[in-house]
Amino acid sequence: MSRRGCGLVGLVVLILFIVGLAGGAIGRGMGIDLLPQVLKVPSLEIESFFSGEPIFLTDGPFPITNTLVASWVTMIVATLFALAATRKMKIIPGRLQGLVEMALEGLINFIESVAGHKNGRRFFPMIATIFIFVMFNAYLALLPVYGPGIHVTVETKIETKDAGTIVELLVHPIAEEKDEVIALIKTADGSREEVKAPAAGEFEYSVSVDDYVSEGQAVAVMMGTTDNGTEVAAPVAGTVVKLEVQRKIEENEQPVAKIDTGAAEPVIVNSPKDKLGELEYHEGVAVGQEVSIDDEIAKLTSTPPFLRSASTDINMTLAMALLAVVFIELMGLTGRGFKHYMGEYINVGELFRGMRLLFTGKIVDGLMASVTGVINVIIGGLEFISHMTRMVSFAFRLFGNMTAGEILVVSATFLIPWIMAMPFYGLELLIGFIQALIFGGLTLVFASIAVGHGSEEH
Amino acid sequence: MDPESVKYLAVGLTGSIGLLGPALGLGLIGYATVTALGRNPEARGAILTNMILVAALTEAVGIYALIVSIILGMVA
Repeated sequence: MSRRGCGLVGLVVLILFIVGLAGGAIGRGMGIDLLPQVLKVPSLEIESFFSGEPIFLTDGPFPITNTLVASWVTMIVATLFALAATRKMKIIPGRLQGLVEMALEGLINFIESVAGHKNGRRFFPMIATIFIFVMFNAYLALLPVYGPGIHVTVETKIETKDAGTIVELLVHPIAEEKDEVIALIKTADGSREEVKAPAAGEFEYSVSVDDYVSEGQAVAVMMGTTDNGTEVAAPVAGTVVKLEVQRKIEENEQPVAKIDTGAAEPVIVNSPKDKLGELEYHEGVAVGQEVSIDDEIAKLTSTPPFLRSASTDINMTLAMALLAVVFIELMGLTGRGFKHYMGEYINVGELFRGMRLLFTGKIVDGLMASVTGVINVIIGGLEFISHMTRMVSFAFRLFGNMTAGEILVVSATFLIPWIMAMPFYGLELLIGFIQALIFGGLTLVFASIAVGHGSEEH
Repeated sequence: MDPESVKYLAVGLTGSIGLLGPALGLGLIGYATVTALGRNPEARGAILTNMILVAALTEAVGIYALIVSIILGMVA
């Protein structure tokens, strides 16, 4: 690129940086607010930290989460990529075929350098699958359609589990900032007046839509900020046209309603686990109403993204870790035979020898051997535990790195839009590759250790 | 101290103390890498590959602490 081109790009980046700095969260914190609402980057809202949000079959026993959909997308993309690369194979490879050949050659060289030729060839399919899957997951997740790119609206029903009378509806509308418009009133001459919240916090409407209010009448009662409650008065007389603010579910399993079933304590209906969003009470649900079992009392509307990086779901990484550990143990079992393999975990040979010596009268030798034997048994148990904890560390390493990366990018975008996230995208490219290498590489190393003890390699 | 402030204290302390170990580890890895490079500059490729691998493993420990502190902050 010419010097002039470089300068131009630099200028554009600088302008974007300044606009981003002024218009992002940092600028807003300093009181500059110049971006239109459309361009504002929302703050990070993780609906569920450990797993994806269900987007299809949400009420069924097997909800389809967006992370699951993302892993299907990864599979399809990887398969199509492989098909495209191997469709017209030639002796002298074209660009795509050459790239894939080079990558696979690098991978198999790496595997053989760790596990040796024979074992390397045996391990290759599994290790390469893990590597490719993790890397495709990480790279695809950087595309703009992932994360908050495309949203789907999901509605969940909230049903009662007991029959009884509703005592209290617990979710109140929330005004997020002072002077937020909470209601619209249409006056007699046709103009519309806004009712504004006097402070941020929870409140309760004392009127409903189409009610007539006179000037100074309470439209809502603010709670939370003041203990006794402040009344929000209507600025003019007129008909209430719209109640603006939604009820929000902001925590997992937030209480939604209290139901008196006749028992000493009222039963509380909770919102579902791992689901946040806007709550709407079913029409006609009010305090004092009788409900029977499985009555729908409210509807929860949330808009999770359609795709979310598959590795940010602990179920996904745990499944892969399970697969990797089973693979390692299986390789150990087939590579060393059942007797040697089990001997590593249940190491009682020395203990039995010590016992035999003790009973045949060689007290000192027997005691020594018995003590060593007990230690061996404990070591066998520890070995088992260490093999099992690999699973946890496999799962959490990948999950943590991918989730942390996602949070990093979103936070950077939130602070200074557009420019700040760019270096982190570069970092994420590196991390995606390294994590794939680590997941595959550790599986490889553990597997070659598992077969390695009794083998004739090198 | 009320429970809320203890919670924030716990979140901060988990993050900071939990990241001490990986920080030390990364420093040691960098030190060892630079020493190794000084002794044997020809083995640059192999040394850097291993360094990145071990650095990522060390970093993962820090990520565990991060997860714990996020859970503490969000759930507890």
